[in-house]
Amino acid sequence: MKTNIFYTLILIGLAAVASSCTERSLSERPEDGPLKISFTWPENEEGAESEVAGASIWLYGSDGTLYFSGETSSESYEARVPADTYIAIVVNSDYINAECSNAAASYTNRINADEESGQEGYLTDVDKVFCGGISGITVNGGNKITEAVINTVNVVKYLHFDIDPAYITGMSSIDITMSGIVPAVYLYDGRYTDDPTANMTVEAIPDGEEYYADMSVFGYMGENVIYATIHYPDGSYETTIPQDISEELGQLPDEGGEIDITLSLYDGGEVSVTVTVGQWEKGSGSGTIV
Amino acid sequence: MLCRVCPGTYGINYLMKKLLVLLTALVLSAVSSHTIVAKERDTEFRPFIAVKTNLVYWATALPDFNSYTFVPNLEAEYFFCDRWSVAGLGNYAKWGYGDGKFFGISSWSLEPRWWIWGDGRFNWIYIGIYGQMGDYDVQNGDGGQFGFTGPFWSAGLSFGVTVPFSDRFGVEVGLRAGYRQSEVNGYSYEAPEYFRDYTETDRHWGLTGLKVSFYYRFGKGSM
Repeated sequence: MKTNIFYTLILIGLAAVASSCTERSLSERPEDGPLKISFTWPENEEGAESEVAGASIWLYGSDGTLYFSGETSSESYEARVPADTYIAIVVNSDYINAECSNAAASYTNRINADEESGQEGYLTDVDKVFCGGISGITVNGGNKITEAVINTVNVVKYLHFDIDPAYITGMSSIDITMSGIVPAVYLYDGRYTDDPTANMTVEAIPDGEEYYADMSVFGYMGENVIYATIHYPDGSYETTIPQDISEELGQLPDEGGEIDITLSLYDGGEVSVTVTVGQWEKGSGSGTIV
Repeated sequence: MLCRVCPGTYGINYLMKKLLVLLTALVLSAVSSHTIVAKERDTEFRPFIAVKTNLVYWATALPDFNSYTFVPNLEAEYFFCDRWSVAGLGNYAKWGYGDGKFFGISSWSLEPRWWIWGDGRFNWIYIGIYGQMGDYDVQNGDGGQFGFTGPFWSAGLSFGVTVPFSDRFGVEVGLRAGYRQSEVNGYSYEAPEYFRDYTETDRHWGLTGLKVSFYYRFGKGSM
């Protein structure tokens, strides 16, 4: 009898030991989680992704406040951030002749073309500005990585001028000036800002008996008046009659195209100019949330 | 609350009907057999202790009438005073069973029983009360991303019938009904941690256990 009781107690004891050992130990969910935002950069002329030195990123919380801004690698931004829904904006850090401003608010975070030194209302060539943004990046507290991709777009447009001064001889240089130049764009989606347009003057480069000049701008809108300034060795110069080409520019497709114009001098001379507008970058600058 | 975590729930009404038919047949058989058994009391086998295992658990059916994976289990029953016994039952499982599914349970219970015939042979019909406690951990698919875990306890009444194949071997069919309370901690797996998503309490009144056990009895008597 005692032996049976002993064995019974042993069995019950084993069962008791076996119990209470399968409940999983759980952690309380943290208030932050991992975020990874990857970047893609527009293709260059060779068809490969443009090489950029790094990126500047801004991260805004759901209440619109700036949570983080800083430099990161050209590949991605990775960090643990408080659980929230974010808007992220990125631009390459090696942009040329431009400056970012108004970063306090996400949708008005912009990049401005630099002004020409000593010439108010005139802009310098901007170049290599790739930007974009994405909203609705929801990060949950925990260890599950929230991944997003921002596909940046090139917000710079290129205008090429082929200039044939024909019979005009003895000049030392020739400049092309155009008005209606967009001074700034929003980084989130590359839209033009409402700032007043500006002017741009570029010096033409001799190419045999002709000249050529290039402008790189965020865009053009409104009244696009163009004229040439011909400089002579004695310091004198003359300008052509300003000509509004906004209608012709407006009729060009996104793929770009050419416009042939003739700029007339006040004394009756003419300068033939072919304006070639390069293909505009397509895309929204947004991306995907993985 | 195990019952919310798995698809593939058995048809409870169907099972109940089948079980009631079986138990009725066993009770009628027991009543008719009792007269014969009583005449053989002097030389009959008297069990002291029995060991059993519940085939229902091995067949992957759990008390919440969901099917997970097989659960090894062992029961010992001590017999005394001709019509009294106390059974101790333990079961344990803790392993994955494919497609990101995982099932863990460990529990033990005590069940004092009263045998109707009181002839010291402890056959046929018994009734009892039971208490059970343990814990569980269920990941029911989704690549093991989500699961439920927590402790539980249960108490109630038991009823069953044993059918002897011989003095020592036989089968026992039984039911448990009563109250079961489970703490349900829903969680998500985000490597390397398991994060608690919510905690709630599940309360269940009704059928809490089902057994079809093979047993072997140790004792003194005819062998």
